[in-house]
Amino acid sequence: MAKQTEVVTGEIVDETVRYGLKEVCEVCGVHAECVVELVEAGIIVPRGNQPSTWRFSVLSVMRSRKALRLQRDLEINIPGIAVTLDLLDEMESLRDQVKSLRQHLDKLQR
Amino acid sequence: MKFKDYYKTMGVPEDASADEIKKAYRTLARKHHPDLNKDEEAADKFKELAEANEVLKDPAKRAEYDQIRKYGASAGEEFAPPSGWRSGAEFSGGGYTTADAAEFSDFFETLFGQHAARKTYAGAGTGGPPFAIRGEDIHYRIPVTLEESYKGSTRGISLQTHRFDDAGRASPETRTLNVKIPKGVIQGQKIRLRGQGGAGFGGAPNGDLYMEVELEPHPLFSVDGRDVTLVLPVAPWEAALGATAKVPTLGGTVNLTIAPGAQSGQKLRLKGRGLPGSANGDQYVVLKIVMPAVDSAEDRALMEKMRRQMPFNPRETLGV
Repeated sequence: MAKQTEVVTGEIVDETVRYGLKEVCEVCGVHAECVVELVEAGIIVPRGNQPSTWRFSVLSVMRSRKALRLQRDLEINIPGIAVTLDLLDEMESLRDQVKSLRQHLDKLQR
Repeated sequence: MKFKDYYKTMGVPEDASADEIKKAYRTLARKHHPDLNKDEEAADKFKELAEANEVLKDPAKRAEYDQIRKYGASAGEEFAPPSGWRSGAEFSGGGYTTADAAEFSDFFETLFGQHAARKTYAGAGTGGPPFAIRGEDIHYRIPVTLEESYKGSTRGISLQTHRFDDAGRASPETRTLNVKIPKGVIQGQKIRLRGQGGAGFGGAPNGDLYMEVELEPHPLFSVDGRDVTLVLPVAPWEAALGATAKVPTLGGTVNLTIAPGAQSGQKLRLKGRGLPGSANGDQYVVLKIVMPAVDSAEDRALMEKMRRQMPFNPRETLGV
């Protein structure tokens, strides 16, 4: 049994743009039209003004995949997905805030 | 292999109509979809649901499944298909299935063919050209301590994934990896490890591994993004007269000057002493005035003296 002992380094998922339209399509397993649709709905925002020069961040790639999963599994249409993703983001940020405030409160009270 | 009761999974009676099945799927899918529900069990529940739906929504597959069910199997029991069982259901692709079909169970694959799930997924018609599917992405929540984020660290993790053999059969695999946790990661941040997800099929690339950072509660600090907050207990005379106090920070102890006349709840900032990043976070210090025990007669006399000498209504702002 070969052991993997090398250390794997990842990239932080942020707004840094790294990928072109073709790579996004490959990672998401969809045609360019699908990605264009997501861009047109404002679900992901690439840098660059036309598809051939578009550059996407890893965050956009993840968001696209999530959007496509929701579309496939829950049959949500594109505007519905846009709203869902915004609300999910907000929920996550509120959840983190609650966690942080709760920790602070704990420390104040003891 | 255990028999799976798809009707039970969907919570519908055996004679449910196609509409009832659709409705049940939609309701449960919203509840258990892993993108909408962060519970650990949600992903597994959704997988089961998607598989059940894949069979029950399709009249041909449903009919075959009903036949097997009639043959006497019930949920949780050991199950082997009747000898000579061969699925007649056509997997004539075209569009998405309702699930990441590569994830379907052995039970499903035995009934409907090993490639059925993946063929449907790829949208390749039966007898079509060879198909290839990118491996699944794996999401992993990794607990990280504040100290680890402050300094960066390397961590061994083990993952449940599966690989495909030449026949396209998936078998589970446990993989261990040493992953680097970069300096300054914050709550909810995701780290993408390219190609470290599930194995691809038919020459397609592997999926990615996403690690989501879950900062562990710290005994001293609370965290908000890159900023950390410490509640610093101070004595009443330190607050009144000013003091220099030793304060723990992630990078070690520092001296903090407390100006005379400090109040409980007052917030001081130690610039750049939070989590590191392109712009370092700050450490906030919230003062909390704590009373010493007043035990002896002398202590009480001192307090009495304060009461006489310093007329003070701490509840003035309450209007009482």
